[in-house]
Amino acid sequence: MRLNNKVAIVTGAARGIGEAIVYRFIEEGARVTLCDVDKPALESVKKNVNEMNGACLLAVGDIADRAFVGQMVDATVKEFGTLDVMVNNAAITRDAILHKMTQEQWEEVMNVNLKGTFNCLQAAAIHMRGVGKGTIVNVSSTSRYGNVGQLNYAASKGGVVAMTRTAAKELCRKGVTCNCISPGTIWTDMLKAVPEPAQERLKAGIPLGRFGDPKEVAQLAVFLASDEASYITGQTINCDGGSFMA
Amino acid sequence: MPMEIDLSGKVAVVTGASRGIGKATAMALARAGADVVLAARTRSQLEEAARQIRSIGTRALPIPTDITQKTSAEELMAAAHDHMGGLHILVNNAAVMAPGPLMEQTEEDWDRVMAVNLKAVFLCTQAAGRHMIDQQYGKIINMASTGGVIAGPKNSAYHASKAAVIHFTRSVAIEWIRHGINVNAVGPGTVDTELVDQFIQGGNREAMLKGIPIRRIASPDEIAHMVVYLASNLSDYMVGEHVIIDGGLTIP
Repeated sequence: MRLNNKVAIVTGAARGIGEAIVYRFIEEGARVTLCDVDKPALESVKKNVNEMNGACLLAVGDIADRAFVGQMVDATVKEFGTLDVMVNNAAITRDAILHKMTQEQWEEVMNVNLKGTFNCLQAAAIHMRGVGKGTIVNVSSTSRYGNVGQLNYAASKGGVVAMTRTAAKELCRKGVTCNCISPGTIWTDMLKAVPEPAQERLKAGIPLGRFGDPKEVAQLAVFLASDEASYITGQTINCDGGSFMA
Repeated sequence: MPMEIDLSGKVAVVTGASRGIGKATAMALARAGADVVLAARTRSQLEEAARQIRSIGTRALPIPTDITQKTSAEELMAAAHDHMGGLHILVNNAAVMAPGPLMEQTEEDWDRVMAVNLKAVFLCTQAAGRHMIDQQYGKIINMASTGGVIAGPKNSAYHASKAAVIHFTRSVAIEWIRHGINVNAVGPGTVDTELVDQFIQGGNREAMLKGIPIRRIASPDEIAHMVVYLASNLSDYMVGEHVIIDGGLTIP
């Protein structure tokens, strides 16, 4: 198993890509703290993890709350003994065309996607540089290249890439690597909420001709979290069926 | 969902397989269960790599090849198909360098670098494509380099060839994904190989390490792991990517 004995935190673990990452991490032998604001959904993920004979800890709360994030890392270390892998996956969308975007829509997205990711990145980094090892996997999005109706989301996901590179630079001599996955159009609740004609237009723009499965993103998270990725740091890797080649 | 990468039943062709990243990649593919066709110029080194692969327990077929020749590239792919029973994975790894100041570069230097690093990638990809398009399945991994992304002095032909490989990767990726063929690239930074020794020869190893945030050079295995990942079905949704493995070298 590729993550045997590793301890991970996955934010946004209640559904979609985060949920898929949790199951793959458990299959690969990791013990995982599941973080989300949606307690009932998180409970059902926990039930699935327990059926897989996996070990997990629930952290119900908002990553924009620094105190909560600190407690989550402390609780993880207390429960499992350490923290090896931080997966910063939690994010929200509040889509609107630029001239109609409200300040609330901007701030809600920035609060979770940027400030929340910063909080988790920092709390994990403090622990990891202290013990001299660890790896951080951030989740951006191909919306970072610009996407109509997602100015706030695109800006936040571009910010995640910038944080990835900066953290990688700062942490790599402390034995800590930091990378980023940039999923394209993945079949999650976020995409299911898009009207069907728009879905078809999105699909037509993907060279592979289909949406991605959350599991396909989770595979890449497993690879980056494993010891096999020991020389990779500061990178953002697209998993997008060829929509944007970088 | 498989717990481990399983390439058993798959046949891989690796160029430049007798040394460095190519040899490490051939071994890693074999450990994942693949049968491997090894191509390089020197028979003795190739036989030794093949012997090591057989000791892992999969089949190995060493074929001394000059991949800059169209007929040789075609014979190589045909050998995989005819003698190993298929061709599923192609790793275009072979590369050469002709380091030195531009004003001292000869036309022969330029032509040799472009022939091995770029033309051979075209020839091998096209020759493999005949088989892969027929079967509507294939995984092609091109060995690019951070040198194709960031520039540095005294290696202009190599850098230009690798930048071309990255864009060739994207172009073929978008053309062939409809045939079920994934084309991606890996971009190693500074790796512990003879090729890199050749470049830093006479240079200052300490100064070189200072330019790498992680403060060490990579082992060939650290590159090979990603090639195996890209050769497996775990990476089916990755198309035309250039995955950089460089210990932070190219974070500006």
